[in-house]
Amino acid sequence: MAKMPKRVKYRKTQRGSIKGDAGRGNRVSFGDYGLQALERGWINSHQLESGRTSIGHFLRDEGKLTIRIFPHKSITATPAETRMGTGKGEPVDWVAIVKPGTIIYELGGLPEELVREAFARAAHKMPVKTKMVQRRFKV
Amino acid sequence: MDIPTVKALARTDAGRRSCRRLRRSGQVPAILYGRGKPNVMLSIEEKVLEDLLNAHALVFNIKTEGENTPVQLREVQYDSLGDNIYHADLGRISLTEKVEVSVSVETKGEAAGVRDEGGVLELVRHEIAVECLPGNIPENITVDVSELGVGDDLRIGDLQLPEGVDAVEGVDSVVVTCVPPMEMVTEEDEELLGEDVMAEPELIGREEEEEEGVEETEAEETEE
Repeated sequence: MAKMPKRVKYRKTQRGSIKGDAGRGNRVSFGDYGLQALERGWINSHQLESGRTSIGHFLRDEGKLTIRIFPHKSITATPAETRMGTGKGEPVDWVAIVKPGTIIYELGGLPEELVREAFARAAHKMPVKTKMVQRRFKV
Repeated sequence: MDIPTVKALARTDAGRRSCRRLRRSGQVPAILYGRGKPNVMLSIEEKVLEDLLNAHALVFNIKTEGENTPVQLREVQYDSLGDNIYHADLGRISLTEKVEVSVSVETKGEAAGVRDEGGVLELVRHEIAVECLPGNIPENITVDVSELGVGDDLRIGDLQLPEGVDAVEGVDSVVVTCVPPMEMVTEEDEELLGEDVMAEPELIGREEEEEEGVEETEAEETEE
């Protein structure tokens, strides 16, 4: 099921601008490999879920998947054929903000070839360019 | 483990522009400090530093102008994509005093939970911090997981560390565990994926306000 927050302080948010690169959430922390975003953008809850499903279908019950981002931001839209000046639309979706470097998914306990194929399938569902990265030895 | 020796050049120019020039030429700016001596700015070849990290060699000798100094790699900074090394911190050490370093953990054998029950082996700690003499740093710590069933775990206290090597962290920290397989994608999930209708989350503070409002109107009514 598509992800969204359980409780929020405000229903609607302003769009905002995405500046800079990811300063956190940009290292593989839980698994052995990660899918890293290379562009700025919004990943909506359906895209995130779709990516998870495609990895699940390919791997079946193997490996351990971690989703590193969460859609905290609500997106509104006005219905079709609405006259100007009726105010801000109603929330229709939830998105996660990603910056270059953000790790979207992590996989562990699997060989590299299998992970590469699984991430290739998830990458097709993403609205940003991505690449696969490997865990680094932590000093 | 033998202690490797790495060549480094002393640099005099500090600051962003000179560091960028260094990085463009394949060098990494580094700083050497510790043991009551003055800090020295260095530059090391990036490829050499990457090779050391790949070999998990955190203790090595730095050779500058004919002088060998035993050092420990204290911190490595990467760019935001994690592709290039940005800067390295080197701390002077004594070869006769114990140092605290992180050593990678490797698993041996196939876990019973993976083999018989379809579980997934999860390495919770990819590295653990140990204390030992610089010459005694193990290349890695091997953990035998062949008897690990689903739901079982191995902790730092269960590890067989080499002689002269002590774990820094508590004995209760989990190193490796065998977890049930990840949830399969069901048809129900796929149906929900197709649905566009999303329930709205609860609003923080709204419930309390509404309750207060109801109480106030009730009080007004009784007064009347």
